[in-house]
Amino acid sequence: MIISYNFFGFEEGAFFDTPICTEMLDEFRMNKGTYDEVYVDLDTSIPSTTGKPLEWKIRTVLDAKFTGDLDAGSVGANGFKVTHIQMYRSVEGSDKWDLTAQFEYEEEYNVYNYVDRYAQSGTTYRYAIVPVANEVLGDMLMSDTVDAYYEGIYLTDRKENRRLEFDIELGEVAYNSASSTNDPLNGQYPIIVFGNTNYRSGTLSTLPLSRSTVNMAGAGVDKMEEQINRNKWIEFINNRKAKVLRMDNGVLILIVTQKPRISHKESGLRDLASIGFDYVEIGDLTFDMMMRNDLIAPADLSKFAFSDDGMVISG
Amino acid sequence: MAEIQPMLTRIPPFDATKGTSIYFVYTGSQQLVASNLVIREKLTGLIVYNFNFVGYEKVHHLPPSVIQNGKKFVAKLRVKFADDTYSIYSNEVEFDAVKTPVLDIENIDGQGYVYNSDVTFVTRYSQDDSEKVKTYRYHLYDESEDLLQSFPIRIPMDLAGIILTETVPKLEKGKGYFIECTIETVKGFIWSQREKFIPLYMVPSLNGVIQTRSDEEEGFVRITANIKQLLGTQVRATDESDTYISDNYEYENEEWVIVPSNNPIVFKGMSMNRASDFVMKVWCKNVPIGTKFLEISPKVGEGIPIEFWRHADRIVAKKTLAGLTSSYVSNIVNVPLSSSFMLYARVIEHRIELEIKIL
Repeated sequence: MIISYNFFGFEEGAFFDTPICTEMLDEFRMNKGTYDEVYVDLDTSIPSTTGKPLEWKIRTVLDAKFTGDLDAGSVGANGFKVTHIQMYRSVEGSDKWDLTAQFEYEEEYNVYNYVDRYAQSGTTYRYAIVPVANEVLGDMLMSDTVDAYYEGIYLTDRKENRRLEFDIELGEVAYNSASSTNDPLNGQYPIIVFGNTNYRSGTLSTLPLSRSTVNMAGAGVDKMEEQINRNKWIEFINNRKAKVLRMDNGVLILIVTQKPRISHKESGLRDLASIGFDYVEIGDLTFDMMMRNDLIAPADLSKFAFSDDGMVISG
Repeated sequence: MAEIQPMLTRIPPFDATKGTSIYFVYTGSQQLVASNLVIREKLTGLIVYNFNFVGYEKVHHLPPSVIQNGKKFVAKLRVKFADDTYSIYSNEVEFDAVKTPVLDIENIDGQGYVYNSDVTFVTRYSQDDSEKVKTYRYHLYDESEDLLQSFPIRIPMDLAGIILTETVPKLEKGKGYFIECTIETVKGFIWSQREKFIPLYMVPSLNGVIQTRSDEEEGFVRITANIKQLLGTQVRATDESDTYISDNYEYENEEWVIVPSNNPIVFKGMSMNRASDFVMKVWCKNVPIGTKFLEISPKVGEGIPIEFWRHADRIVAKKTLAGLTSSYVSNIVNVPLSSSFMLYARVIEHRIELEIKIL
């Protein structure tokens, strides 16, 4: 006889192993009693130590601390209704957090994907999210550092991101400021007056190549595709909206593009044409400025669930 | 020789119960030994004050409570020389005596706290002589009383000038501040009130997971934030209209929740999906013996729940399917009703491993 087990299994636990499958578990019900904390996690390697969980992990399902409320998710609202999520960005090493994006919080979704399209190459960033409830800002949740690094020159706005790939000519960059020289009639030296303007402008040109031409690896030129690709470029440059010019050397400026022009190559390569345009800096890259210029994309919302093995699947 | 006339300077309104110092200018060559100030009520012409104040300096200190508040007065002054002669009288200066107004900043509670990050400060003004506020202005100082921000000069919204408001945004939680309200009355009386406060508010907090990765191909940084809000609800709402925050539970030291027998808590939306393996830890006490105290189940009526029963010396997990019961038992340890314990449950391939640890 095996102590403490009996054949019927009533109150004791059966000797025979008859596992009954349970799945799609969704509700956790607590009856009479006094509870300090309730924690459910899909990571089965968590040992049976009595220490309380320190942080929320990606496979944590529920963690209710009962510190005066019934919050059990990763957003503890303390009775506030969370309406927005703000995202901040900080350059590693500085304590300055800049607002990067703001999006609405929807209870139905638990994954918020955001693409920071205006990262500066060669910079180490740290991101943080903050829940906002009725104008009350919450505490920050910070990410680990991430090194933003890329090669090439990009022209980016909310919808498009075009890389300048071949035959790039940077031209000269003018630092514009207004000043005037006045020659007084009664003095030896002139009077110089400076204005407040201070912005950059310049020209850029590149040779855009369509994917199909690139795939031919020099064997030929896809005339039609080239023409379509070129038109897309011109449309983008001519769309009268603010854009961000990003270079791998760290240049990051808010610009508008003007005066696109196409110059075709000579005879045999006449189906290839480089595109040139002028650009003018129009402001600082602050959240306010980018918001007004429609450069901040909304977050992509989705849901995550758990697979058979307790791993995360998004859908 | 022409006699030099002393000149009285402007006398700003003051509180007669406190007195004031009245300054004058005298540029004559003779040494003065005292100043003789004569004050009469403007309305009646009655002389209310006539006194020689001995002193070489060109100031006459008016003692407290020699004149009355709420009236208009006219002052003139002459200086007394060493040979007991007087100069001619100065120019006459009109002034008001008004009682010190009371400014009470109402938002700051008895302990010096405000409970938001954006606070509209409300100052209540009162003054015995019904003197009205012309303009007011708020200043915000930091902990060491260094000026942080001056708000614009404002005119009271209500004509009586009793309620003076200003919205101060973006106060940091837990930091000490001083707020000062300065007023100028119609008669030119300037007065201010400064109070210390600490913004203290409960904030929503995040506990989620945020992942970042650099996309070299596009030159982007991609950020994924996994956050979810899971709020417990009571199974039987005591109030039908109480739908939003149905939190009628009692808490012990803000750390323990006391669940009564008629009001269980349910957390919905765990969305564990097809994941069958998990670990559960519950810290609890006062769970009645012989009751089903926990239940993890699919959405109501869709599948098999896992029940946790507490017995005097063990915890049993049960699953029932079509009359077949699968039970798992924990380690055997006698847990008195009031002692707190932790239940650890590990479910792997539908088999449940249970462990009780007395805290």
